[in-house]
Amino acid sequence: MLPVIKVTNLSKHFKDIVAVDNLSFTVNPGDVYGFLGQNGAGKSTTIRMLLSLVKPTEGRIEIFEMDLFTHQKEILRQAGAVIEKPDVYKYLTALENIQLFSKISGGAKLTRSQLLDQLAVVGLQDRASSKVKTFSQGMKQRLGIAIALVHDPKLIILDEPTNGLDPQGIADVRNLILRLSKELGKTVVVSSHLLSEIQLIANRLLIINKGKKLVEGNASELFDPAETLVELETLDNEKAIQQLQQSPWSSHLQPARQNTIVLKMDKADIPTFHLELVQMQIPVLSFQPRHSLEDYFLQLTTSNEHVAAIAN
Amino acid sequence: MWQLLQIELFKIFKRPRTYISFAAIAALVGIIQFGLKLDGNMYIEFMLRDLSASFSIEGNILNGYLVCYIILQLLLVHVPLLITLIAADLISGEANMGTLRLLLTKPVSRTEIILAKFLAASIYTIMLLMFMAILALFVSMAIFGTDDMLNLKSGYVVQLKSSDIFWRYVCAFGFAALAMLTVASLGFFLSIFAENSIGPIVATMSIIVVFTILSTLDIPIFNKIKPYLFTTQMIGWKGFFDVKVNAENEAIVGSIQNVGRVLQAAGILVLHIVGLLVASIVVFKKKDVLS
Repeated sequence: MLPVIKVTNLSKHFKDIVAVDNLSFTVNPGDVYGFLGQNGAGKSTTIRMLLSLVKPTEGRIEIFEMDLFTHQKEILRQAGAVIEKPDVYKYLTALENIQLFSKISGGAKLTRSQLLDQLAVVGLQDRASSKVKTFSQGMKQRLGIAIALVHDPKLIILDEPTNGLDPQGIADVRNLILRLSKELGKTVVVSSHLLSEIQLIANRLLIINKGKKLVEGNASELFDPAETLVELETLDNEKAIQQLQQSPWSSHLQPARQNTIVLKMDKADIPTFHLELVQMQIPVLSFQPRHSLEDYFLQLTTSNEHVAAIAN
Repeated sequence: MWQLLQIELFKIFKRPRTYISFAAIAALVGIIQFGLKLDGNMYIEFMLRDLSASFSIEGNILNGYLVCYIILQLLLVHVPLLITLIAADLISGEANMGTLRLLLTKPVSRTEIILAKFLAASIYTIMLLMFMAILALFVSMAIFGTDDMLNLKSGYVVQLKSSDIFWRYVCAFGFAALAMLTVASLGFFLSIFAENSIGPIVATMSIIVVFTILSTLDIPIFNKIKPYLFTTQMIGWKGFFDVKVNAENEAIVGSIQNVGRVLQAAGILVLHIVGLLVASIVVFKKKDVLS
């Protein structure tokens, strides 16, 4: 199976700042490829390079087995994208916007009713004649997605598509991505800084930090149930650790973290462990199962968030 | 390319700000025509005060041709501002709105985008000048009638036969279009560097003001660079109203006093336009779109 996207040793420097550092990854046909990283990790710069908005300092990008910089038009004809905020022409209506972009997207010429059908896919058919300046952020986001899909592209690149959306909007985008992949066989690259969001849709994922690749792989492997962490807070952690060390769970114990006891186990073992805690009469204040990847990602992202929280 | 041009024109003419320029021209031309209609004779008497002692001047002096000339002299200095409002917004405005990145993710080359936008700005500029020509020339001809035109110079006056004027205006407006396209090219070029419209608009106007001052300053050190400043050449349209005279000191119909000078001025403007357009393409092709 030949990859849809093959990125090799990609780097981007902005003067002294290294935004992307020797990044390599592949996206296969039909993948929903999650692209994860904290804010400023280099996701948007990478996505912009995939769309030839930003020129790489080094490295190679092949999409549909063609070099991006020598076959830009052929590639972009088969790709649709929403980058960060889906800004469109606010002084035009939704229909005028989608009509305008459909003309230069390289797809078949669409009639007015076909364009309205495209707006219906994202639930904007009733607002087709409204100027975009009257739209909410979520409606603009949906219009951006409709514009990205108007020429029926094989590859869809969505940069933080759920930013600024309410929970219903997030769920709608998530369902749309799953439908695009499962029903229509599209390849979707979706970036986010929220692992929980990507976890629900991606079959493969890549985590980057400071422009470098940290983890890449199949979601099923990365979210291996055997790698589940349980965070436990008890009335007396010292005593609870002593009890656990004398139990069959001692091999599962991980280094303690602040006020919590951490154990790594298979997800299937959690009910048994829970019961045994009761049998050992350990008074539990909180019990938090979390996947080790989630934990790893959280560590990565919280360090900066703490700084931001303190600053605020 | 044609599709892109259509889209660019559609976007320009869908924005209310586009029509501000047309409204401003209509208002200014109307005000001048209104003023001259009411009090034009006083204005003409003042203009001819030195000549009327030596000559007897008869006929419809304040005719449509002269009114158009007065309007052009007054307005062609200010039209660049109106042109800049659109041209300097074409790239920076899209960067500011965030639509530039969406546009660039479509299968169109950056060169095509620049050419389409530049052509759209040129069409807008030419339409604005045509609108001005209709109001300043044709409406003035309808209001004030036609006759020979007196072109007052310092120390002498040129009398142009009424049958020898219209083509001169066609050429003058053509030349003015070149001058305004130079301004549009400059504003367009500067808009590539900015992510809001204000910067390139102010920068373009500042350059025009500085160059105009340099063009008019009579200091020897600046005289060498003056011919290369587009602001020096922008008033070259007046060359079409300077005629050759025969032995009887009468204007030779169909003549232009210094054709070479007018062509040179037009050539310098064309070089500016081409240079700025090529520079725009080169810079835009290398630009990282981060907006």
